[in-house]
Formats: sequence, C-alpha cells, structure tokens
Amino acid sequence: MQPLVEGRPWGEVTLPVGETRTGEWGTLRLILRRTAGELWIQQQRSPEPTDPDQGDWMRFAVPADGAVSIRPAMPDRMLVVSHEHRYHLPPRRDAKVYVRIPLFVQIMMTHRRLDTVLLDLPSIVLSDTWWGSFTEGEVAYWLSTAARAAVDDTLFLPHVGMCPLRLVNESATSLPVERFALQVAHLSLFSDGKRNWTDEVQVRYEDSPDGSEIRYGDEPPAEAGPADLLASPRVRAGRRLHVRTFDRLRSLSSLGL
Amino acid sequence: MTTMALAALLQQADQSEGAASLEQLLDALTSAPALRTLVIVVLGLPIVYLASKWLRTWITGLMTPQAGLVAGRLAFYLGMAVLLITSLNELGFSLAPLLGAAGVLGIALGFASQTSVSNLISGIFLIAERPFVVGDLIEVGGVTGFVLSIDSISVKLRTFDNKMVRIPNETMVKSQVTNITRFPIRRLDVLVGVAYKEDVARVRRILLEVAQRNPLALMEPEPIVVFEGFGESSIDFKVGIWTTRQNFLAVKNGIQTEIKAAFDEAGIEIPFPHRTLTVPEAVRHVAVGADGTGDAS
Repeated sequence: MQPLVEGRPWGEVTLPVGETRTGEWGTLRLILRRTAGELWIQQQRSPEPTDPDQGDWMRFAVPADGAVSIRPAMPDRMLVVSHEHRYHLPPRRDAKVYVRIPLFVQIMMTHRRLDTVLLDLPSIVLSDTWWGSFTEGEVAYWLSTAARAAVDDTLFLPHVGMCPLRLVNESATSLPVERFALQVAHLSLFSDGKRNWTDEVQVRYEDSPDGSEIRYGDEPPAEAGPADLLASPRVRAGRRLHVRTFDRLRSLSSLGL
Repeated sequence: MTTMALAALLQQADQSEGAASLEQLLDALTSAPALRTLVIVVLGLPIVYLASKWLRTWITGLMTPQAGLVAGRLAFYLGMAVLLITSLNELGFSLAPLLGAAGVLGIALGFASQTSVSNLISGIFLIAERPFVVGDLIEVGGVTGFVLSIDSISVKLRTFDNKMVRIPNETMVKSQVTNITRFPIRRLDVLVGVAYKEDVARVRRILLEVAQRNPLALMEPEPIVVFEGFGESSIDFKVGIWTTRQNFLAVKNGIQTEIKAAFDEAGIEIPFPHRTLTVPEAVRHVAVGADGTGDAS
C-alpha cells in the first residue's frame, strides 16, 4: 500500500478510485480506500499492520470530485498534566515548562469549499481522568508524559505539538506545582517544517475563587522561529479566560471505602 | 331579564346617533349581565391560557420542566376557577349556597380521595426536594429504572427490560430512593480472589496496572486495591475503579475480562472452592456391577 500523504504527515490525499493508501500517526494506523461514490476508512492500533480485508471498514458516501485530506487538531478535552518533579513556585515568580500534546487526526472531505470532518481520532489513546470534585467537574485526558523544563529536537514528532507554558504565581503564597489542567482546545498549531508548536499559554495564578487567568499567545512562540499555521483552535476563545487550573481532586485513599 | 335588556339596548341604539350612540351602545353592552359575562369569558380565557403558558416557561427557565408544568397547570386551574366564580356572580347566582354545597361536597370528596390527595401533596414535595429528575436512573423498593415522568399522582419508571413501573408519589416519599446517576462519576467495585500461594504484593501491582491500562477507567480519583480478607478458598481483594456514569457498563464488562487475561498471563491462579469427599469404609465394599447396579459384597 502507498503512503497517504507523500513526504509529509498532513495534507491532501491523492486517492484514485480502487486504490488503497495507509498512514501512521503515533499508535494510529489509518487505511483509506476509495470506491465509486464511497470512501472506506479503517483504523488499526496493533503494533504490526494486519490485513485490512480482515478488519472493519467504516464506509462514507462521498462526492466523486470531493478532496480528501488529513489534518491535525488539538485534543477535544482538557489535559491533566503532571510535572516531572514536584516543586513550589514562590510568590511573584514565574517558570516555563513544555508540554508534549499528542494530536488528533482528522480525515476531512472538502467539496465545493465545504469542509466536512469524517473522522476525528486520537493519534495516541489517552486515559480518562476527572478534574473537579466528586459531585461536579469534567472529564479530561490524562497525559502520561510529564511537563518538562527544557526541550530538545528528539521530543518532536509529527503527531505531537509542543506547548510552551508560562506559570506565573501572582499570589502572596508559594504555589505547589504537581498537576495542572490545560485547556488545549483553544490552542492553535504552528509548524516550522519539522517541529509542531502551539501558541504560548500563560497561566497567572492569583489564588482567586474564579480560578487562574489564562492568556493565549495566538502566534507562534519565540522558540519556533518563523512558522506557518497548521491548524486553527478547535474551539475559539477570547485571548483571556479564567479556569480552575491548579485545584484537583484529593486522593481517594483519604476517603475510605 | 336578558331579553329585556337586549330589547332596551336595541331601542337605545335605534334612538341614538353618531359617536354618542356608539358610546351608549358600549355602555349598554357592558351593563347587560349576560353580555358582561360573555366579555369576561371571551377576554378571560385567552388571558388565563397565555398567563399560565408564560408562567410555565418562566418557571421552567428558573427551575425544571417538571416544576414549570406544575406551576402552569396550577395557574391555569386557578384562573379558570376565578373566571367561573366571576361569571356566575355576574349572572346573578348567589355564591354562598354554592360555596356551602361545595364545602359539603369537598368533605365527601376529601374522604373519598384521601389517597389521591396524599399522592398529590407527596408529588409537590418530590418536585420541591428534587431527589431525582426526569432521565435519572433510580432504585426504589427493589425496582431500578429511568424516570420517565414525575406526575401529580405517581412517578413512572422505565426498567432495563423496557417495562413501565408506576409508583405512587406517597410510596416514593416513604421509601428509600437511590439516585444512581445523580453524580457524574461512579466507582465500580470488583471482587477478586486469588490462590493462597500467590504473592499478595504482585497481585496488587497487577490489578492496579490493569485498572490504569483501561482508557475508560479514570486516573483520578485513583483506582484502589484493598485486601478484603482470607476467604474460604482464596485471598480476596476489592478493586475500586472510578469511571464516568456513561462508561460504567463498558468498564464493568471490560475490566473483569482484562483481570482474567492479566492473571492468566502472569500465571496467577483464580481458585474455586475445592471439596474433598471421604468415603466411609462400609460404602467402599459396595461393588458396582457391569450394568451399573450395586451389589453388597
């Protein structure tokens, strides 16, 4: 089978009728086949490719002149990220960390300038977690890789977006940084050709009941250099918003059975 | 009386001229009791209908659709009662004997409909207290089902096997009700027994790994493994896994299979009760023939 997108992880797929193409992003293997009036899509998560004719196909009725493309997207829920080392951020201090975000893969059909997302799949299946209390909150993804204080080129992969995150403690007390929630649906994705970056996020902790103030850069971070927009935010938000970023559920063990 | 008033009205209308006659006509119209009653009914009905509808929408926005429905109905019936009393009054009926008769009738009806009234009042308590809302999964008196409606007399449930169960509101108020879907996350408890020869720490580690590998099991609140005790033929553990209420069944189905697979892979034995039979000496001398029949030696 030929690769889905020649030489690049994202872009338009050339898929003549009767042919099959395949592509891999993280643990996701996508197989696309075009028949007359239909697009067949199969996803595999096994370490080794298996015979697609033995697997389950999802079939979509598509226009014959519609263009198929593969595009990256930010995860559809917030991420709960832990830091590689638990530390305290003193009052009036700031720190910068980097979070590796596994991207989602969208299979898009474009016809007469109308984009339709046929499938929206995670490149890596993340575990669920809960952000909130026992009576209210929201489901988030649990990021198994910790936030880092520094990055190098080995950390960049085609299915990963690097998010520079500046934590600012504007409160009068020391802030323990163990885990935090990151609203990634509001982030844009940029690429300098080899590395994917999101806009810089600034989290200003004020010890306020309204939560922390989040500011989005809306442009490639300084680390990226010249970079092009690869994907717009999944959900548009204002440049500032207030969310609970550092609160988290207390350990279950203290609650007993 | 009404015919005479109309005749006078027409006569007045014939005699009058221009704008003055129209004004007199309107005065006459509203001065005739039957016509006045007609005006009250014609104007009052839409007003009562619209007001009750508006109240229903407003209360629904403020509280719940159920509370809105009840408030709208109450307003409608109250408005209708006011219209009826006003109309009867306009037509010259004395309300005192009517109210007296209604009182006697009310006492009789009260005795007859004691249960219904009790259910009605219980329904108001249920709506005010809101232990559950339409769509919740509840368990009451051994019945588990989704709440279809909370009506003035009863609550209707749809069970998993698609039966409709009607429970009187009074019973609901008196019974212990468990709302299974009130909170967004739930804990699934799985009981697991392993053989006495197994390493407890290793078993605990494998169980935690299985819980953490399941993408639908929440990482926080953390899954827990509790040593439950020494069973009849196994060491018993309880695995507590948190998940969202939507994924509860999927996790329940998946996690037990995953635990079995992980134990098989690690060579951990899940024991079953063993029974040793001791055959008394006398019975051992019973010879069994080729045709299956026994014969004492």
